[in-house]
Amino acid sequence: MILKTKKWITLLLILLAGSLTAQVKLSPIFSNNMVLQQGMEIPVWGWASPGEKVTVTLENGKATAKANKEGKWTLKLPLMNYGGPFTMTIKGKNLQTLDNILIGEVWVCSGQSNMEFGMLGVKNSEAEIAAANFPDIRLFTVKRRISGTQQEQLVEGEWSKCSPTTIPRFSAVAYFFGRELNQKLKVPIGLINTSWGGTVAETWTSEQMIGQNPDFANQLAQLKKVNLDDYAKSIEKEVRERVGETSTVDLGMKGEQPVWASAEFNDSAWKTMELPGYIESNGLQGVDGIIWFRKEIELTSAEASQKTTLYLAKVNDSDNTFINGKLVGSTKMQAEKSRIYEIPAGLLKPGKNNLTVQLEDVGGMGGIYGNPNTLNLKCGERTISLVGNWKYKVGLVKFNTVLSPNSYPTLLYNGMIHALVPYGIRGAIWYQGEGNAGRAKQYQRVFPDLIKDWRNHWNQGDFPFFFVQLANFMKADSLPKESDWAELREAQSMTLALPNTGMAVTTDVGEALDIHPKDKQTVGKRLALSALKIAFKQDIIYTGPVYKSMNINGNKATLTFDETGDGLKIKEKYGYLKGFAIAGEDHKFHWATGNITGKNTLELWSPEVKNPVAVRYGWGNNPDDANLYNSADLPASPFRTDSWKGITE
Amino acid sequence: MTITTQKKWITLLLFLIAGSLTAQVKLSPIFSNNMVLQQGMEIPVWGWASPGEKVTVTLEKGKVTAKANKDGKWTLKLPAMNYGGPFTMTIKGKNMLAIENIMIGEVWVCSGQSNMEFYLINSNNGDAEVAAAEYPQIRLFSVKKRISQKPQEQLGEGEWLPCSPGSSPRFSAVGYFFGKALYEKLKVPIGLINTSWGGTIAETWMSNEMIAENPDFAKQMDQLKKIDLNDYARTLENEVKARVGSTSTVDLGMEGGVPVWAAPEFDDTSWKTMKLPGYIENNGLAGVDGIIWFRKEVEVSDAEAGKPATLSLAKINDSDNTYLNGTLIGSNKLIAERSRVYKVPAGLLKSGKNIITVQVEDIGGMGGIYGDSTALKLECSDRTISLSTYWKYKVGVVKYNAVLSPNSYPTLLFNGMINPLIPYGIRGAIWYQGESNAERAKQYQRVFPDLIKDWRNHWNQGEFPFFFVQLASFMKADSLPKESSWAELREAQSMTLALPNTGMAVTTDVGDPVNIHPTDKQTVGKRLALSALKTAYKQDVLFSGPIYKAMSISGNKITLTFDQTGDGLKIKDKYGYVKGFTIAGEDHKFHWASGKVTGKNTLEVSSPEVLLPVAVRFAWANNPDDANLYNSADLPSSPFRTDKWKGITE
Repeated sequence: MILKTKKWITLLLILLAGSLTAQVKLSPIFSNNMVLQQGMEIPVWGWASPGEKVTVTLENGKATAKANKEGKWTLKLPLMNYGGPFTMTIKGKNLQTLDNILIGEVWVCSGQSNMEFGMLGVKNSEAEIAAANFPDIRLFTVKRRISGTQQEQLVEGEWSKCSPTTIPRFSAVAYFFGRELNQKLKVPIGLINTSWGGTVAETWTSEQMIGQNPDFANQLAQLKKVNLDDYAKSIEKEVRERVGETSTVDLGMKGEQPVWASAEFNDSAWKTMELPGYIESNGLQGVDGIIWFRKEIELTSAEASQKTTLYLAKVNDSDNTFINGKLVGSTKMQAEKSRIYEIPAGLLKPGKNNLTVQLEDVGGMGGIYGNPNTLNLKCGERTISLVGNWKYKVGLVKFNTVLSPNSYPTLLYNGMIHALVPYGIRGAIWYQGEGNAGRAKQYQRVFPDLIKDWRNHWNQGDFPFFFVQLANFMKADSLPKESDWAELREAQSMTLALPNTGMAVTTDVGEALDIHPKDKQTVGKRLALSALKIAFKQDIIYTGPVYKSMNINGNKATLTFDETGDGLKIKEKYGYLKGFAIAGEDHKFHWATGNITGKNTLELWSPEVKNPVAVRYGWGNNPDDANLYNSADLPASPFRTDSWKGITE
Repeated sequence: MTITTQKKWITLLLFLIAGSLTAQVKLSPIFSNNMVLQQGMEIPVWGWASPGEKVTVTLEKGKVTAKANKDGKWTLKLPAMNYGGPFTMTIKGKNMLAIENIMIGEVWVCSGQSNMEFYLINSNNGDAEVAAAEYPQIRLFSVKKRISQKPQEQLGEGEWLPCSPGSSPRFSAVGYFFGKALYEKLKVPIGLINTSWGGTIAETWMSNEMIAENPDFAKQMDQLKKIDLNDYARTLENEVKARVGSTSTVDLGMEGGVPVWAAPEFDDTSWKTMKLPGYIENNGLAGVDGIIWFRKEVEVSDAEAGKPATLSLAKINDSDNTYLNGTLIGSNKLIAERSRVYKVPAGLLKSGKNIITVQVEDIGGMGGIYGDSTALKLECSDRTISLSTYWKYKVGVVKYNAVLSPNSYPTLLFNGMINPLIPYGIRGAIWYQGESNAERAKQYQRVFPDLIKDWRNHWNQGEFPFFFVQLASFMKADSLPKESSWAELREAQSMTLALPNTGMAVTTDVGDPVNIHPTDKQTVGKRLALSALKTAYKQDVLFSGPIYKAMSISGNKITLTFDQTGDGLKIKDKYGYVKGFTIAGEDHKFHWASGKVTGKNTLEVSSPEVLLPVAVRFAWANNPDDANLYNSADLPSSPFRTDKWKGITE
């Protein structure tokens, strides 16, 4: 029976393929129930026989195009105002019609899991779903697809009317955004949801843009050499070409003997790598397995006799560490743990000593990584830095042959964005960044690049692009602390420098224990405020207070804000201002006491800081008590007045 | 072995034991190997022997002889000793007993409800705490649970055990941490006598002599005298029948599905009267559950007749069917906390006499039409007729609650678990109880100090130290200031500090909103020990958090002054913000107040919502978990209020 079914499917495919070449065809983004963007010429495209003449008619508009030699045709219908329902006819050799089309406002909704997050999971989901009867809101979900090359066609998909039946698995953020716009503007809304949980921004960026960023050059080079349709085999081949012959047993071990750790072993033929650093960023892109590192250390006789401690920064994932062939420390599968090993007396000798680390990377990034100040040997009072070139050799390679959207940049741009271009849109909303938080500093370039990239491809100007700043998440800090999530939020705020952008601050709607907060209603509403203001030019307050300047007087810092509406507001039962920390020249932050001193100003101080120089607000993974708002009840974004080096630099 | 043979063996064994009791000198189990005797005072020792038998007790240099009275009981006092040991005591009558490994030190009675009973193993880091509980100089005694109608002279069983990982897991965590803290500070042997029972109310731990003076409990005490706890079901039924009249197991007010007692023409002249609102148990129906019918006649004017009205019946525990002139106008099942507000439809009220009938079902515990007297009324079109007055009532069905619990009557646990300890020499007592009395917090203002006086009277060793734990924070924290029975109970506890040699451990900062048994018993024990070090051992320590002293109002600001601030008031908050205060003006409406410390002993509070404040409250809530006023010794301020406005338990 299975065989039989297979045969039938094959037959069906052949028939379909036949019909494709014979008949005019549109991308599935053009389907019954679709919404087309009002107020601009309407791009329509599809495929037919090469040279075939295709005429598209919609109400009073009519345009004709000829399919090129690949069979693709493109045309633009004249612009229309909102309304409908309408019927579109597409006439080539055959005739096709699309029914129930609305003209309105079309938004692309993209990002990672918090955009993908379905209505079933939101606060009050049952009631929200039951009330989701909005025939003028239309939904389109792009099917997940990884692609090594830019795809022009969507595999499948269809527009459907928003109803309690169609909404449960649709993006909640998109829905609440669209519902708000529909209610405020009274025009049809089209929402195109193209999102995938856990994804990084660079996979949503095209090669034209990401190719300019040296951070991703190694990955892109590898992508060009592998074949995603035969990934396992081609990745193995690519790694072999780059790393040399690989083994499935650890070449550094002879039986139980770590021969590559012995002091007299000759490592002159080994390559060198700059440590600390990830192996993936240093020539071993795509490699998991066992890597051996060796470093020679010269000691004086005084140093050799001291009590000595080895600091190996952090190791992802496991290590066995040897001095002169003797095991001095071993840590298994604790990528976040600082490696600090005491060297037993008598092991070090005057002159040359050998340090060898047998490192196992079980997947993802691996290596001896972390803060360079924590990679050294402390002999009594003296600190010998181990930062710099080490010898290395791969003992064993395990190929990670599972392809994911994050395996390379561009994969989802190719598979899930490119095929939408140039469908007429008003703009895009975006909820992503959690997957990039460990590289927040880099996101300062990656994120605006993504926006520019999409705008370049769409070629309809600087269309509105509104995004959600990361919500509060994880344990709230008891003492002010550095935070990669805060740095990612800062990178998002900096992206507001691009024209026609807006940001929904959500540090007050997150959940300490859930990276997927359930209050998507607030998120959608705040995104819609940006749209009403920037895309639809309504005169409203759309953002929370925005830090403008600081003035220091004695131990007090006075901060001035823009976008305060009728004035700054504190949300707290006693009226206390929270979320601020203040530091002096020592860069050490202390929680700050404060109060509002005017419509746009507040004053901060701490008994611990006599001469403050910097202030931070909401600067933590989970700044859940930060409570500065404006009169429109919109929260201030986390910010800092300093530009001191962060933890993701 | 069959049950019958087992029974025979047990009977035989009991005879043998009884035989040995009369023949041999015997001590209460409170005197056993490993015991700790109180230092620095004469040491009472007592027991039983044959009537007239001479008994000599020897302990180190002390030797005293007594003669058993005609009931066989003998009592004597050994001379005072200083701490030390181990010692051996010999008791010589016709036979001789020896008790080994005795220490002289400090003995404390540890009593209360579940938070005193709470085991060490269940406290924070319980496993580690138990593993570390190797303190041979601390000795533990747990009194077996026992309900008794009459004061008992003998403990059922029990033994002293040196504190160890083997003996400590199920010992009182609060008792243990208190004892451990004392041992570490004083370096003397410590004896802890744990006599506690979860869920119990204060009055069950009081003697008949004391509770009899409190009219609130007269009915219950009266009933207790008429029944026999050993034959509870039957004697309770007899007692209720004698009091309530003949009782029925079917509802006499219903005939064939028709509520005949609700009929307006029904003649209720022979019914008794009860003042409402009020629990039936406090109004002649103590010990009664079942169905009670209430009837009330109201006069309505011509003008009001026929118009719609609203009948408010306060609250009803547990269910009701409510009739007006025989027509059912409202019904609620098993929602004791819900306000009963029923619409009287147009056309039902008639000019002249109208009859309201309420069929109340009380399925257990307290029952009746209860609550706020202003919520018991008939609102007619033109006026409001108060129904807070005497109603007619008759019992339709009685269900007997024949399950005896420690709370069934006052005195039961004093009789069974305290009296047999008296007059064992003690330094004092610690007490963790009040949760079960919270709904009657106002009453606790008398009950609790009475309990302390009662124990002191019975022990007859003066005003011995008595330290207690104030209720921890519990339940949901309030988003708006609210009245709270737990806050009122804490106030009753604070007021009890007026008695000499008392101390209180404030624990509003170590509670748990979802667990009435907070697991941080370490802090509780430590804070109790501070009171002991100060009050019982005269050490110069800060033993209490800040105590509210005075208030002065200037404009919209209130300045509060405190005692017991040590080196100064301290705020525990990462930003330094004072939390937990509310203030109100003459309208009695409280608003959250911001504040700041303005001096060593003073702080200032205000709210933009209150222009002319007259009252301040601190941590006045079931769960004031953000209250953060401390002194320099990191001891929290007790909740307090400056007003004396009527509370919700009055």
